[in-house]
Amino acid sequence: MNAATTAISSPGLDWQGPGARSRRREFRWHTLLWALVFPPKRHRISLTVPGLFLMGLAVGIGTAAYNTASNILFITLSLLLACLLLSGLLSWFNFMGICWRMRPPGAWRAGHETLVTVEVENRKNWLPTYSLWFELATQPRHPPGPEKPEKEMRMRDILAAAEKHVTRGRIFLRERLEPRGATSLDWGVKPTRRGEAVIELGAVGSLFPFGFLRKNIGTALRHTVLVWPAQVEYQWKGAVAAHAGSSGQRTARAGTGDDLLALRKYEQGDSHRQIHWKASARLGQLMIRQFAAESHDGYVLRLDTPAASWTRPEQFELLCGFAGTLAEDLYAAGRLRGVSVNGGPLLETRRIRDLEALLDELARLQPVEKPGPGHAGPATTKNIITFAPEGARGVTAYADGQQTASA
Amino acid sequence: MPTASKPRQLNLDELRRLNWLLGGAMALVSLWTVFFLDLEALGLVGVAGAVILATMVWPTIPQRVPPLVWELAVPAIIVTMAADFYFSPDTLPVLIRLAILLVLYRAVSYRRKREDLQLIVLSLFLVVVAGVLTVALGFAFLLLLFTACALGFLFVINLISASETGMAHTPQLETGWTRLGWGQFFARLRAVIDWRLLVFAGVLFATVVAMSGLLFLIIPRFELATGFFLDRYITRKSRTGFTETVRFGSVSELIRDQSVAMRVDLSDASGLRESPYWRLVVLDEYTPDGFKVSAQMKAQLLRSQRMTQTLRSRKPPLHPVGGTWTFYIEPGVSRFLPLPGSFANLRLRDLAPLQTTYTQNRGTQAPEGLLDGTRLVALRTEAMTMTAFQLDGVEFSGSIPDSAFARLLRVWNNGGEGQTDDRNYDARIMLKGPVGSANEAVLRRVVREITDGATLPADEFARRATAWLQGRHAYTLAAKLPAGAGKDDIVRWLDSNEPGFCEYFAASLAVLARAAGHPARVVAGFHGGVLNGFENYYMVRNSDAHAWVEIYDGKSAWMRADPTPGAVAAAAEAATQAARQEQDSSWSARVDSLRVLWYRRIVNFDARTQVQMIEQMKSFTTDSGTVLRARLDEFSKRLKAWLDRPWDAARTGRTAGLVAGIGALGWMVVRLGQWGWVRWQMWRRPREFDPVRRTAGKWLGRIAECGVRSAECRAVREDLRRLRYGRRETWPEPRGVFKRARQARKVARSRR
Repeated sequence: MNAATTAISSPGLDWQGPGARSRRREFRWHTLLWALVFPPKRHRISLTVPGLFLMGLAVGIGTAAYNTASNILFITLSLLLACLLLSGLLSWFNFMGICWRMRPPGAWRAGHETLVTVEVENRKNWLPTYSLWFELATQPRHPPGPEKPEKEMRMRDILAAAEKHVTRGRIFLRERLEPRGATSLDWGVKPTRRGEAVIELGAVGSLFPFGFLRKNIGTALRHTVLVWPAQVEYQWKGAVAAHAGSSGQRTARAGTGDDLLALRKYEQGDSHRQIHWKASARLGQLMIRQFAAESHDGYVLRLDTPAASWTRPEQFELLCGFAGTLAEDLYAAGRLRGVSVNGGPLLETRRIRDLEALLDELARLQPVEKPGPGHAGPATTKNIITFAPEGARGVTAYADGQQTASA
Repeated sequence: MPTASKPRQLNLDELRRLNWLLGGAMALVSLWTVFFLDLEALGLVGVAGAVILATMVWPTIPQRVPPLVWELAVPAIIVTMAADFYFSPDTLPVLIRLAILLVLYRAVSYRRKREDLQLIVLSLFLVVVAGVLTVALGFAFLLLLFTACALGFLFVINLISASETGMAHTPQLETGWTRLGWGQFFARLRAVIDWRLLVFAGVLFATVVAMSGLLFLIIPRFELATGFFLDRYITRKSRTGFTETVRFGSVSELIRDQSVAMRVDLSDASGLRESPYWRLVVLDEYTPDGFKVSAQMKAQLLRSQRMTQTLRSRKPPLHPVGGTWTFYIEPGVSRFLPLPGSFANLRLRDLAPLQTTYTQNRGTQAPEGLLDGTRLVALRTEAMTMTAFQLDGVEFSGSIPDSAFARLLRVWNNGGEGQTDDRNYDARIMLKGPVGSANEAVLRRVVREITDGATLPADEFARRATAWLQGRHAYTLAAKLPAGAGKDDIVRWLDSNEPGFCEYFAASLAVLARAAGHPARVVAGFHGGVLNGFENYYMVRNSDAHAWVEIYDGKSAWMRADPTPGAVAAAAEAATQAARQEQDSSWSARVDSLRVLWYRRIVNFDARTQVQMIEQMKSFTTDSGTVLRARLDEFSKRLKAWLDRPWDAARTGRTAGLVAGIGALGWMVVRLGQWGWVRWQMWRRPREFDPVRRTAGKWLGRIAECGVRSAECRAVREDLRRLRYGRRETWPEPRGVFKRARQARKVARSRR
């Protein structure tokens, strides 16, 4: 967890909490008093162990006070009760003006630790806020169905099964949050399954000021996030497919090849070695040589997931991870031309966004009854990588029918 | 244009240091309360306090103690407690000594959250027990001090707990804070402290005190008949001479003690026209060592004991002084209650085992009890704490009616025939004096000198005997008994010219009266006192201790006779003072008045007082409302009359000028205040405080409240942000920006 304190940037409408602007209402005494008697929805106050002890102590002293009619005991009892009231009052002050939001997370990757960031602002003018915690939880949006139990489940088992896919965490505001200050807290979470996941800020709590009362404010802050398939280890047998591509061809893209592609004006930051002196002298301004990128014929990934072929869930998960990893590696090498999923149109992968779209699709991919016809076109008759199960657990990638990688 | 500001707060080590400081301070306060207790633990408290103070100042000390000592500490405490239980007759002192040891152990060892909470509970135990057993005013101060320390301690515990969540606990980390120097720590503390937060904390603490006071007042009270009290588990020796036996010299020892023995709160002091005699104990039996309460009277006291809270006199006084008298008797004075004379009702604060010589539960028509005339009321044991009781219908008189004694004396003089009462009080004990031929010869001679051989009535005999005694003996606090074989002390003194003090004079008069055939008894108590000038109550000091005589007139009453030289003159002086309502207005009286306030408002607060207070509040509210309404009516009438007067130009001008002047004056005062505030802040925080940035911040808030997003609004907001956060070189002209902001807000409001 990491916390960084900054000043408030700008108020927004997505903030939640007592200090959020949308929740600010006109102050009324009777509203306040009623709120003290009957806490607002989702506000929960419970006693801690020291608080229970304090209550027990108060009951004991009260009993002794009535038994002996000793005013010293009565005044001690009054002080204890007043301390309890003060505790509630300070707790109320502590939460006053506090608001929070979750920074919209990007896509996650299964098996990789990622950070959930909660931004907190203290909009009070001169009172700091101490000792908050934020209860976070994440779970698949569509958790897998429960396995058929061998015997009748007890309530505890049912609850345990429901909690099985939920990852919970608590992050703490260790340092005080200054008035008109803001901070962000990170929660490290490692998703285990690909697919859509829900990240939820369940409650904000505090033991402030004396640890007698545990105050929780429930929130309804939820975000849905896509979890990309996990990266998997695979064995690349590139030599088998190498003949299919014609490496070293010049392309029309700028790059770091040896062939001069064009000249352009000098821009700040350009290497002086790339200055074309002759052209610069002729044109009267600095010109830079631009070389063509070397390119290869890329691959097209064709991913068909008929349910009849992919009967084992673990093998299907491996397929998604393998396809995603292979696509990333090919893209990084500049050799991924496009992707076709379940007979869909060929989606070209020219930019990183295209690759991310592929990973998004892989995150949601499920076995289908019957894949549609392919639209890869004549240009894609070569270098098409397809996937097939290998044994009970493995997955093999074939380039034009020849095994090229396996996981 | 955000800016980052470094948070000013203590780090974990500094918080732990503060925790150590507050825990030690709290433990010391709890030990301080034990000093109020008269226990055999003051040495232990002193040692424990010194050790705690030393470890507070040098927190590395516990590290130097071998681990074996820490391991053996708890078993050693348990063994000590067991031994203490075995040897000590009382339970509570053992528990207190155990708590002291545990507080010491917890305060000087390194603590985590659980040990911190244990320290709070142990300290609270000490404070509460000491408070209940002493009911001292100092306890109120210490309780507030303890509350402040405990709340601060809990606050810091919670901060530490929040800061170290999830951190690994290693010995190095947990004791690393001990290397922090005090100078560095206090410098950091000073840098971190925000005066606004300090003021806020002070206000909150005052709120806690006020809330607890309010809760104390409104907590419903009801009496439980079977209570227990801690003082049963502790015994205490009397510090004064007012027990069943008063030896010669024991009262005079008190005269050197200037501390207040009791306080008498008078609801109506107008009836106090003479210096009062506060009767504590009646000594009816003569012994060569002095006078004492006879075994028969003690038996009567013991037989009469019952749990009660009120005592009603069977025959109300004929000439009572108005009002209710509330007595607050300091612990250790006596188990006998000081009574000025006859009374109608006596009411204790709590149910208590009460002993009395009054005959009770016989109805008003029943014959008077045999010992009613002694007017003795006593608690079963001497109270550990302040004792409070109230009297109604008090009669101030030099005589106590007692018609039964004459009948009783007749019966016993006739050989006890007709004595049907099973108490068998031998009234002739009031006629017995020194025995032996030598003693009797002296007494006969002296009585003859006083009476000239005549048979005098009791009052005349008392007057002449007093004159004889005062003619032979002077008053002194350092009495010396002359030597002489075969004679009792008091006879030897009587027969000499040695000076003496009140007990000698009183005992001499009593034995002379008995030798002359008048039943007489010595009464010990207090004489006089002074009115407190601040809270209108009577302060009676131990130095007012006195002894005097009551002589039976032979028919129906006991008459007071005070033979001590100066007593009559002092009584006259006191009566003059009382008549002039002379009061003690010294600083000590002011401090003492706080104690009475504590007794009145806190210690003596009960269900009856609660109801009275509620009624007073109700009547006060009603009366205040009535008065306010009347004043408003009066004011509105005056205003109407003023408005109805003809308005000419001069009057209109004067009025307008006055209104304008007041407005201008108010405006100037406000502006001057603002100017002073800004200057003070610039002087106090020359680097941080900037009025332009501050004003820009205010305007940013106002503009944001408008919520308008017009182009002009955005531009003004941008300029305001530059003024608020930007460098000075980039500032636009501030006045112009503020003027535009004002206009933008005006426009925004008009559009709503």
